[in-house]
Amino acid sequence: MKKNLIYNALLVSAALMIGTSCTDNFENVNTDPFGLTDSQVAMGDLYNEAQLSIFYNQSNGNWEYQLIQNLNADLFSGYLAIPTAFNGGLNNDNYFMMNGWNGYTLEYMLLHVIKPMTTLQKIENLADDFYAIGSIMKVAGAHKMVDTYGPSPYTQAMQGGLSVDYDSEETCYTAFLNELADATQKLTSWLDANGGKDDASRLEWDKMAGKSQKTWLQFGNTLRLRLAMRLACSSFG
Amino acid sequence: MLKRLQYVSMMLLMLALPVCAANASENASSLEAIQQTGTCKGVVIDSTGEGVIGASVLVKGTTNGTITDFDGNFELSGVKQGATLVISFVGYETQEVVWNGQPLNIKLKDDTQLLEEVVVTAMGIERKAKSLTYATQKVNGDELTRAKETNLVNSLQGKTAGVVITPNTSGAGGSSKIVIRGNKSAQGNNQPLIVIDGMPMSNPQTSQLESVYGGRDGGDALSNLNPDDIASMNVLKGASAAALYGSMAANGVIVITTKKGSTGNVRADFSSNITVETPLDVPQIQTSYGAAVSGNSYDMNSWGEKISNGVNASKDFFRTGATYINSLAVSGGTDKVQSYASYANTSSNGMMPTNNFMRHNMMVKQTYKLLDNKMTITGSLNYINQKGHNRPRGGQYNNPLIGAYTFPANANWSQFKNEYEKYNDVKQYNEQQWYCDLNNDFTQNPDWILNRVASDETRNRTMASGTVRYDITDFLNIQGRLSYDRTSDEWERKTYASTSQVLANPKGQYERDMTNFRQFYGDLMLTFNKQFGDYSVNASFGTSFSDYKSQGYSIGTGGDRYLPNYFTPVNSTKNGSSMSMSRKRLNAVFGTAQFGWKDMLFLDVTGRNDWSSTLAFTPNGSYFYPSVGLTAVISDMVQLPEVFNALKARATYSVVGNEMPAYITNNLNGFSNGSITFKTTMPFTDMKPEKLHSMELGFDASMFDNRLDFDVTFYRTNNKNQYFSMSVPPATGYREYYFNAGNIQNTGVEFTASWNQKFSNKFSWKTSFNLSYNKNLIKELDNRSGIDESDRLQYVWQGGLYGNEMRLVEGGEYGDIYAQNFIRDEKTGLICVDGNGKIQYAADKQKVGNVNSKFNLGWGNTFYYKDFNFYFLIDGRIGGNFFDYTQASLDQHGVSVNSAKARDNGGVEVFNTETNKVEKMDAKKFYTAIGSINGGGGDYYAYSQTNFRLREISLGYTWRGLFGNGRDLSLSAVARNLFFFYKDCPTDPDVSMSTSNGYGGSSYYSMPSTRSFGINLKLQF
Repeated sequence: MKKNLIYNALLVSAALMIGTSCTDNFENVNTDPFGLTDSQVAMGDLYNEAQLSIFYNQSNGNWEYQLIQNLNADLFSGYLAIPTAFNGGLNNDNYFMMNGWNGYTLEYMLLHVIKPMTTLQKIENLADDFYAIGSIMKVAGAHKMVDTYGPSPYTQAMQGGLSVDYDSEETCYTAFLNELADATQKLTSWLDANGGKDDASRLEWDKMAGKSQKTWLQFGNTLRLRLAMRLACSSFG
Repeated sequence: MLKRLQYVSMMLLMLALPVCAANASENASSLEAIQQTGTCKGVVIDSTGEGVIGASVLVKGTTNGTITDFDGNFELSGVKQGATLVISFVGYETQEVVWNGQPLNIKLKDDTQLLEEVVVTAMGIERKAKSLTYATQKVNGDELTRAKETNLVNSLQGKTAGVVITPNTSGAGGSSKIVIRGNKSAQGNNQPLIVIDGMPMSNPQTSQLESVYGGRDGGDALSNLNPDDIASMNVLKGASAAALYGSMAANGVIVITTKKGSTGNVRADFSSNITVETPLDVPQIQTSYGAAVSGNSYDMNSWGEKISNGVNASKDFFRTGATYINSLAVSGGTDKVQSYASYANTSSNGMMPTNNFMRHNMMVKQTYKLLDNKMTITGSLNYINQKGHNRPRGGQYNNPLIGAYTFPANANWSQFKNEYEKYNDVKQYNEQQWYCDLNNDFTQNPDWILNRVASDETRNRTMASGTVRYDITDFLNIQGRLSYDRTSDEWERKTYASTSQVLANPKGQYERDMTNFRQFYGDLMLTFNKQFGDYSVNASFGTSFSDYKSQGYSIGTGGDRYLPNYFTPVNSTKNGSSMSMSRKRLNAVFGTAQFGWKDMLFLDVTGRNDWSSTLAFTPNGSYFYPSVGLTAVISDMVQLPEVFNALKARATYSVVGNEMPAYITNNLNGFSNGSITFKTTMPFTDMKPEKLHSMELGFDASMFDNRLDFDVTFYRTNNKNQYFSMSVPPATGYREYYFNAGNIQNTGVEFTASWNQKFSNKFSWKTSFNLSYNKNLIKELDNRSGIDESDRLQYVWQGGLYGNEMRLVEGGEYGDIYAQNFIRDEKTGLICVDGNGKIQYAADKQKVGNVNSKFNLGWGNTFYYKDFNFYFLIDGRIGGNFFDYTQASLDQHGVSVNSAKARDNGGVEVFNTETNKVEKMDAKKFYTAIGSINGGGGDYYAYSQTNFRLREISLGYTWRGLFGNGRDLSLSAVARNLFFFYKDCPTDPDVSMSTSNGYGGSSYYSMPSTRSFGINLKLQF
């Protein structure tokens, strides 16, 4: 009889052990420990992504650079030429638009420049100079997209959903110029407040402008000039 | 008092050999009152009144026995009055008779009364076959050991209706894909659950080939087991049968029951098997045209001059394979303790030179009955160690077959075979020697690849399980089970310097993958079995959990190397290593109840609720699914004509959820090569589990004195709520998103029939035939509400090989292959070319075939003549297509016999649409275009899978009772895949390169199938 009780007790405790299989831990189980959550992505990482993608140069990405830059602007502007009839003579040089080659500019500017900068600008209480540099980089990439394709999705982008409305070139350029005006104004104010001096410690990630806010301001203004020049002979300008 | 002593001694000797068990039983028998001993005489006859020759008559619990003579008479001395005699013979039900001193007249019943059999179903619940509401098929352990293969599941080919087994062409240690009743899931797993003694076996998805360029077969779970440990296998085909196992078993369950010690005495079973293998279907290579020569090197393609004395390198390449399988099992026991221990060694030298494989299987299983037989404890431990060297793989990169098959007929094969490397004084290491420039991704010296790009892999698997069952009363019992299954795989490859620089760093490369899979399973079940007058109730309720974790470490060299031929990860300028992990947990509560009325009408109800961690972050983490079934034993209800011995009808409907892969509902950012890779898939926080609705109707019958058994089943399954991904405009911030949709339907029929004919006492014949037909239909693909027609998913891309794609299209079937297809002339059927001589293709990709066959059938026959036995199995497939990309590549490179014939003919006939005439197109131009790896072959290389072959044949002789009663010696000669009765495809179409969903039904420089001959020896002592 005693043995019966002992065995019963063992069984019951085993049952309890198995029975306490609750679902509290499930979210933890279903999270990849080697993945990076959004909170683990620092501002510097976002800026880095954008700065390496305006002229795409990540992870030895040579074919992306070839498709986005060489076979588009570089080729059509006469900056470089193709010595061989590669791909059987079917390539941009002969105006044979290969299926699947020419969408990369759109995709990469959107996902690798506009997206990280939009994410950056959503950070709460973001300092003005950071916001401004974010705008400048965003426009530096976005205008390449509009110049390549014409009407592009810009003002409605990065909001999820299954489809995004396109904006006319006028809308895009207006947006660009407004953002750049705002950015240069913010940077000017920041520099004034800092006694006209740069603060390199705020720009550790910077490989483009030598960690200098003054250079960023120059870049922002130059970009405004470039965009304005493009509008000079257009009906919109 | 004495009982308690025995009790304690048994506990102490838990790990001891069955010898102790035998001692215990002798002690017990010495306590019995001494009875009168005498000589027991009698006769053993069968149902027709004829004497049974060679039947074994044994006194239960001893080794005292004899066998019957030519008239069925026997005489056994030294038998105590009141002792139980056990009479047994193959093909008959074993009988036990108590001897009271009088001569015995024992009538044996045929062992074919299938409906009275007890069958092991889901969760290890035992049911009478007559009460089952769904189709199952039982396979005896003997079927798996008659003609042994290194992967035991291949022995099932052609023997079970509705189960299609397709082995991978990766030699010993390779996986085999098992599909029961058609493919149901687009992205998920389509293979059944494997259950051993009631507990699921972990069968993780290992690395598989998923590209024409390469990939390796990481092996599967079932191939690790020793077939000699298996007493029987029961295939639960429909979801209804598997509803109790839940998500894991939506595709059916293979229930394996392992052997345990028999009561009575100790016995040992030894079996030894030697098999020799030769290739069944090596492609035909031409030797009349050579390759263009320039200086010392030859062109990679053989489109050169006509030559004489050409050499065919492929004839010389393969060696005769040999496999040796030896196993020893020792078992025994008493009523209270049963033990089983076994060891098996499988050693195989493959047909590919340098390929070898070795496996050790060790198993120990103990069963104890305590507390007046109220408590049963079973424990088993299984350890498997597997090692493989240079296991063959398909695909292009580093594949020695390419170098052998495409070797130019005018180049010197023996030179490159004997000297595959030469020392380079300047670089100070050995360099690969080959007939052409090595910096290509296609051909290299095969001996260089086999010796200097060699791979080794190891698998260590431990499976431990324990079951405790306590009979609270005679109608109520509680059972708890735990199992732990851990697999540890390692794969290593060293690539030496001077391997093609397109494939490896010029100074060499080192790769090492280590993966651990661990599954921890437990369940607790309360079972109630009681008869209430005419009504019977068999019910079980329980809870289970399953915790699964896999960890992968991929270590290797990255960036550039510092030193040549130095194989360690530190020899890298950049990081080349990474880690990954995946976890899943499933908790469940389930219940099943079977209500019977007068043992002729049964109602089965099951319900199960799952909580899955893969659906965390969604509101659908808990899902419930029921099933219901009804069975009527018509032969017990109404009076049927004499010919019917039994007739039963059954119907069932069930819903089963299917598990999702981990992490989809919570995708995170990644990191590679120094920068963050931001996530591009929209989080799927609304994911629902797949739901499989299945319906099944059937009936089973036995007729003509149980000589004829047949069953027919009709089924239809609909798998809804598949998950698909679709691309989304990058302006949304993502590249793709997931959604639930779809309805994949499978409809089919399964038919099994067997006939048992006893011509005389000495000669009998049993024949079994099985046939299954499955029609798959993608009933709906993107059936979401509120989406515009133009925004809907047009097709799901499942895989791509050689320019062809496997797509799921609404209205199509699973396994449809799409390709750029030719425009053909209507009258002549010839391929059209335009005025410039260019082959014309249709604008859109078209369906050019389907990789799943329609009908699968098998016909097995066993003949017994005295102590001889003869068995043969013919099986076949009808319908479906096999894509032979090897043939396409051989044609493209001008090494195939077809390309030589075309050149002899002056070209290939085509239809010129500009001149409207038939003309000859230059063979090189033609085959280079259609044989291209980027597509262009259309339906040219789609062959029919229809084939019939002699799958298995065996002739054997048994020396009965050579080592004592019931201890036989059998010797048999076996052969597998002897020849084809009919085949359309140039290679064996019943194989595949990969078990992945999108990559079946094709071959690209895969190992040829094997034709094997062997000898089996089995003895018991």
